[in-house]
Amino acid sequence: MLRYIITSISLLAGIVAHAQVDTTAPKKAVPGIQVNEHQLRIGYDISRPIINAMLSDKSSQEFQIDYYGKNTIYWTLEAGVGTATNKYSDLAYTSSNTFLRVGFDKSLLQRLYKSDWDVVTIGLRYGIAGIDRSAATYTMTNALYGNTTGSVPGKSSVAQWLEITGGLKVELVKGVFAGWNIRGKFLLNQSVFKELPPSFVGGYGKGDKTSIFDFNFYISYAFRWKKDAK
Amino acid sequence: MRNKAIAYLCLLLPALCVMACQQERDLCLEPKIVNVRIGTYRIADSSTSTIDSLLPNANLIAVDNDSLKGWAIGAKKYNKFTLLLSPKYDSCIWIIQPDSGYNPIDTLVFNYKRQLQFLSTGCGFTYFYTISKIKATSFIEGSDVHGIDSVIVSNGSVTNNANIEHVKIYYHKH
Repeated sequence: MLRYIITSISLLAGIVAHAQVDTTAPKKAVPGIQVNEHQLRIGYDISRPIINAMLSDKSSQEFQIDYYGKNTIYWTLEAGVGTATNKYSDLAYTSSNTFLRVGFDKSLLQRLYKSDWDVVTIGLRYGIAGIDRSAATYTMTNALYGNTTGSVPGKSSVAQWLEITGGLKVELVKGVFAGWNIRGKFLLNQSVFKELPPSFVGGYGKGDKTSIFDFNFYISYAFRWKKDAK
Repeated sequence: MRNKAIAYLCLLLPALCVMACQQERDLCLEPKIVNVRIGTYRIADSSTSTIDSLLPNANLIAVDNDSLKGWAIGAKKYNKFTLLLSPKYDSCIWIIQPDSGYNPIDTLVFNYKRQLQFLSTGCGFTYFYTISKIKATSFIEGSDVHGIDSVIVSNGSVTNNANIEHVKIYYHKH
C-alpha cells in the first residue's frame, strides 16, 4: 500500500508543477516477472455522470481502451462526446463535439507476481475533437444608449491538443480495475477558438483556456489471453 | 484487497478536490465597458504651447435620437473625461460645456467604425471602435458661443485599455 501512496504522491507533485518526470524511477524498467498474456482493457469514466449531475450547462462521456502486449507500455485509445449550453442573459449558444485521444501509458512499477496487473503510469496523448457551435446571440448593455443585441453565425471547427498524463489502476477483483488519471492538456491550434470558443469541449475542457488540468476516474474490465507459443 | 481499496480511496482525494472546484461560468475579469478618454488643454497665452485646462464646472451631454442625455453634469475642475460611443450607429454627438450655465458650448460629432470583440466566455462580447474623424464647432473671433480651438485624435483605437488618451480637445486661449 505504501508503494502506491509514495509513487502516486510524487507523480501528482511532478505533474502539477509541470516538472520533469520522477527521476527516481528507473530509466528503463526491467520487469522482474514476465507474463505470457495479452490484455485488452475497456473502461468508462464514472466521474463524468457525477459532474454532469452537478453542472447543468455541460455534459460529457468518456471511454478508454488500452492494450498491453509486452514490456511496460499500454497503448491507449480514448473517445467520447461532450455538449455545452450557455443560456446567459448576455450570451447564449450551444456546442457539441466528439473527440478521440491516442497515446500510451508507461508503467512505473515492476510486476511483483504473475497476476499483478496493478499499475502506476505516466503517459502522453494526442487529442482531436470535431466541434459544432450553434449561432450565438449576445446582448451588450450600455448605460447611455441602451442594450444592443446581435448574433454570431454558427461554426464547425477542429481542436487539437497534447496531454501529459499520470495515474494508477488497481485490480480490485479479477479483471475489474478502478483507477484515475490526472492530465495536463495543451491546446495546439489556439487560433481556432479566437472568435467565440465553446465554453466546454468534451475530452479537453474549457474552450477558452490554452492549458488545462483535468482528471478521469475509470472503472475498467480486462480481457486476457495467452500469447502464441513460438 | 481491502488495503488496496483503502489506498485507492485515499488517492482519490485530489480528484474530488478538482471536482469540487468545477464552476458553471467563469467570472468576468476584464473591463467590458469601452470608453473614449478625453483630455482638455488650452493654448497658452504667451506662446503656441499648450497646458492642461481644468474645466471649471463641466457638462457633458450625449445627443441620442434627438434627445439629450446628461453624462457628467457639473463636473468641477476636471481635465480628463470618459465618454461612451453609441454601439448602435457609426457616429454620435456630444455637447461639451466647460462652465455650467455659461457659454461657450461646443458640439463634437464622432465618426467611427465598430468592431465586435469577443472578450471571454465570462464577459461575452463588446464593441471596440476605431475613430476616423471628429468634427467640432470652433471658436469664432468676437463671439463666445464656441470655445474649442481644435480637436485631435491622438489614438483612434478605442479598446478596453484604460490607460490610453484617445482625444485631445484644445480650447482657445480666450
